Amino acid sequence: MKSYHYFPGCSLEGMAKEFDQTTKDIFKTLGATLNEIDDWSCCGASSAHFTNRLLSYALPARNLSITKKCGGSDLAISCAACFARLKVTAYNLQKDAALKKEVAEVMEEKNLDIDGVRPRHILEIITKDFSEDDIKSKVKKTLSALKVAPYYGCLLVRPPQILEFDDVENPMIMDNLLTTIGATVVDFPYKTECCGASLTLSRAEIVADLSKKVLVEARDAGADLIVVACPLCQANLDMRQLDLQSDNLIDFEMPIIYFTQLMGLAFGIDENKLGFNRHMIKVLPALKGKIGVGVGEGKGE
Amino acid sequence: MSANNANHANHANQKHNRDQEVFGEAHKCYQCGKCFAGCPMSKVMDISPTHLMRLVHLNKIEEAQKYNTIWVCVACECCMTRCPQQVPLVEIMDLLRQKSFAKIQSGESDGEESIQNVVLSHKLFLGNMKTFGRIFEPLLAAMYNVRSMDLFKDFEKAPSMFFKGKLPLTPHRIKGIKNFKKIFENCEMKAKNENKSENQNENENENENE
Amino acid sequence: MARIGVFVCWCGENIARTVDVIRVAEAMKSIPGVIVSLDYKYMCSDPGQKIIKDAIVNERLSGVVVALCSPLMHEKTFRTAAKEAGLNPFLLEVANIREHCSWVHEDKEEGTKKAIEITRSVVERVKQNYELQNITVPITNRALVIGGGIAGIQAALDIANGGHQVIMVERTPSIGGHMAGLSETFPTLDCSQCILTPRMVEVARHPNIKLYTYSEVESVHGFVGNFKIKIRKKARSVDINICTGCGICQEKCPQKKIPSEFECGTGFRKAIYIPFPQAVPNKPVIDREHCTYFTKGKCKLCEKVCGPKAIRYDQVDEYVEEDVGAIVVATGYEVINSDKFPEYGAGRFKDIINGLQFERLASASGPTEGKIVRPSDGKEPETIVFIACAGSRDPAKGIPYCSKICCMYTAKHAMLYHHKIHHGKAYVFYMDIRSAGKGYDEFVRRAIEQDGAIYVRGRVSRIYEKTINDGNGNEVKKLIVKGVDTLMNETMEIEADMVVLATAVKPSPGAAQLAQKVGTPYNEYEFFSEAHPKLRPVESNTAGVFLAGCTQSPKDIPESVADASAAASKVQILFSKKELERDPYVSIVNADKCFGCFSCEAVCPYRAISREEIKNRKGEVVRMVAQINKGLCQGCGGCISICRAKACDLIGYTDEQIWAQIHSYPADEAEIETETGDEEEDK
Repeated sequence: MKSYHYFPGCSLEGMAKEFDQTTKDIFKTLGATLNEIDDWSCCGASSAHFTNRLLSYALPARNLSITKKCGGSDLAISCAACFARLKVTAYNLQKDAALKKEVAEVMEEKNLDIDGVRPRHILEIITKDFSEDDIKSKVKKTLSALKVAPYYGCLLVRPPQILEFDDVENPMIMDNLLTTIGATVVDFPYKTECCGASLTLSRAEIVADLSKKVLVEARDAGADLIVVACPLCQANLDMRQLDLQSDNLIDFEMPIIYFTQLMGLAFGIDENKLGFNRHMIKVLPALKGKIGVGVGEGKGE
Repeated sequence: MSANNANHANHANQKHNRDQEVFGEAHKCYQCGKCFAGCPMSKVMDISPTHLMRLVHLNKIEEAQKYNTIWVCVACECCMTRCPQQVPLVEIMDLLRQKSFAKIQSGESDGEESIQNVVLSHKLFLGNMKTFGRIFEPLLAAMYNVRSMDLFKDFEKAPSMFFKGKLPLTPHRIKGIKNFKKIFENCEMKAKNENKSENQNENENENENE
Repeated sequence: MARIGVFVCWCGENIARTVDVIRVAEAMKSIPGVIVSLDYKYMCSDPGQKIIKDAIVNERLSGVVVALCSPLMHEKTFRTAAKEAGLNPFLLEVANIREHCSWVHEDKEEGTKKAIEITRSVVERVKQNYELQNITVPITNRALVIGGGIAGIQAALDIANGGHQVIMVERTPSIGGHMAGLSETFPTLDCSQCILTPRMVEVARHPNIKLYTYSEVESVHGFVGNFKIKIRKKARSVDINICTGCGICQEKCPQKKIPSEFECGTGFRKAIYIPFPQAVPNKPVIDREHCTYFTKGKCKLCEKVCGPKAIRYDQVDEYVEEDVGAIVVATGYEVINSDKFPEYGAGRFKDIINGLQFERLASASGPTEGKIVRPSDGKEPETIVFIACAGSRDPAKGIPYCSKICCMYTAKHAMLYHHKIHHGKAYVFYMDIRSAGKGYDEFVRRAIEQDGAIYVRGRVSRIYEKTINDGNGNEVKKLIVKGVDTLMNETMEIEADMVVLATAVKPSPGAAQLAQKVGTPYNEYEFFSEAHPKLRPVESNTAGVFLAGCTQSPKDIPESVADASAAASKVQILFSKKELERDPYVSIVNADKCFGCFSCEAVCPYRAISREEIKNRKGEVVRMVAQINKGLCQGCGGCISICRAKACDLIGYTDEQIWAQIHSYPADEAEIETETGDEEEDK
């Protein structure tokens, strides 16, 4: 039975609870356990590295250190921003001994040990640690009538040499995963274009403008909904869509869901238990009539 | 100089060297504009990333910090990924922001009006985190509205969000909050001292030149 | 008994300022064997040389030491003078008291002491010198030209017209290279094939040129003047002596959809094919990897329709050996492909092409008969975007250098586009314009001022494909180009129909392997290294191997032609002598001491060491010893250092000579000016 240490991140505890819940559901279905590390704290997101260099390393390092103390090596992370911060920290602290010393100093930790802790995004875990057949065998509902646009956002893939996530200009991990679970993936050129991220508080109009571009491209590509892997992307594309609608800047609705929710749907979990109702743009109407009840796709397919 | 001051001076020198090292990378920039072409924020920046690199190359650090560019940048890293000369744009931007923030924290500058909201959002984010160890989103949003004097921002979404369970009523405070706060304090202290030493160095240089 | 003359030069103030030259000359007088010791202001001048010559004759000198500047400056001058005076030139040595002494010190006392030490050491060395003669090596007056592009063609014609035989080896089925595939050439917009094909025909007809096409150099052995080349003639599967070049086989071949190398992938060819109508030789070749007969055992249609019965399915590669005296490497270039650009789609978008592909579209003899159309749907592009510096000047992509020709051919492409599609809009994204040739800048201005090309200073961050409604109810695939205009300080988004990337120039594939075969160095980008970047651009560091064209670095046609003629000139200089003379500093093996371990053979970088059989009177081989090829040996000394039996020594730099020099250095500073006779005891 595969087992991973788990770092949910602040959003998954609050606004993106459905991402947390469905992540746990998916891992359970696939037969793996997620153990939340003890007393984790915020990774610092953009605000830390924008304002204080040592803080931006110390905050993630605290969580890496906790993981090590729990005896963990692979740290599963759902939020793309947390994943980026934790992996960049692990990489830079390993490379730069002087930096590690400075960080240990501000953490007041005599022996900062984070060796061997590997931050991994759950997309990478699901696609690398489980075979296509493992995943296909759990699919109970056909999604082929559903056209989805996979949206990676910027922090999953960049900087490529540190995150080593996938091809930086045309990642296919999520595309392939969604195809495996039976959805029809559309070719969508805005996969890694930024949604506006942390400016959602202070410059919401910029975020709305950028989100609009993503939404329009997805619509033009023929998608019924956009599938994301980051709570901030979800919030921006979802919440700001309301602003765009009220300002008459778009004339369509594009639901934004987490890939774990879609996987849960495919795995046969009741669509009312996937947290769709927590999204601002209604999801269920877009799914209506497009989800068939089919036999689980086994090896013969 | 007392031992403490000597240490600070030493540390400041080291930091100064690192600063120079990072800003020095801007000399690689040959102003091709590829970063500008791919930047999602370029339309709302006062000056383009290309122009910003030019200023850093010419060591016009203070002028570079006057524009909203560094605060409107979201660190999506598109620029650095595509830069043909491998200029570490993200590191340079981060350093400009960190130095600018230190000056704002110490009261030396207010920052331009156009960026005050952005800086405020970061301050509040950090403050919120410092209090709880994790972000308590409802309080963060509320405080932002109050402090930015935009009380009704996103207000129409609040009821819907509340009923959808997106706005928890009680925050979670981590157990290790005491040590967590310490980390913050230590980092803030270090940044403050570095800023002070830098100012001292600058004054000394000015006095020498006079 | 030695009769040494020492001549110390003031070199004006150059030496005299830091060295008391008179004192040095005085100090030499006390060394046993020194008959005359003088100083003079400018030794290298005619009067200075006369002094030495006179001394050689009048004092019957057996050896000369000239203490002055570096031997690289004037050793030759003085050795020639010595020879004229009747003294073997290798009995004259230079003591460097300028670069090694006066130029690197400031204290005159220290400088003078050091100059005395240096000069004395060379005096002791010269006492051990013996007469030597330059080594002569015969020269085969035939040249090998590797590569049949414009540079190779020019070099071959020049050497052949100079009266020497040339072997030309070209690995594709026809000569002509990339120039044969170009549409028009800048800055005159001459039809490329029209100016090239007469030269190609001349090569084919020239009595002094032996042409091997569809062949490769298999191995190179030997040394300058005496190379042994093994050439592999790849099997064409056609007997070209019988074949008339009628082309029926090509017409009837059922395998139609093989991407043509000549068309750079924009068009197709058959399995049996002549690369282009003006090919030289105009004979076909069968691509065995795609031919139905070779892959599946069926068809054989070409054999059936061939009138002269020239098809030979059972033909095998043939090896031939040729002896040549000089090699000209003219292997040309390739351009990188659009799949090297992830931000531009990594080759997924059919309408993003490179410069050579555009040439084929624009060419009247190309797959579209000169019509510029989109590869995806065959429609004319109304908006075209040219991107310069695609891959060049880009350390992130591993190519930091400038490819030199792209600014010019991009302007040319913009002009050709405008000439063919008058109402079309051409954008050119550039960083700088490099147009330094004759008439070149005017050419680029013409593209902008007369042919309407919109030059935008900036780069393109990303290109992606999008299907849009063209306003007439049709769905059209467009390329969204996200660029910037740094002069206007604005981003630019263009909905283009086609994009042409001016991709970086690299040496032809296999350049490194060829360089290793030929035994000549190349740089990290596989461009062959020239002997000196400023003064010897067409010679390599390997004697007898010359470079021409893009083999050495990216360049345009006139520069390649100039290179080729220059290389040909160097070849002819080589061939103008009956024999090659080179200095005698080579290794020599004492066969009595050598016990045949052949460590020397392993370390010799010039492959100059072979094994010699030592036989007894019955003719039986009793031992193997090392033997040094004087022609190949460069005197590096590797074999000498590694020889455990001390059987190897360097002529002209023997152990005795070097020991004498070392032993002359006094142990005690006080001895410097007074030491006499001690060296005799040490011997």
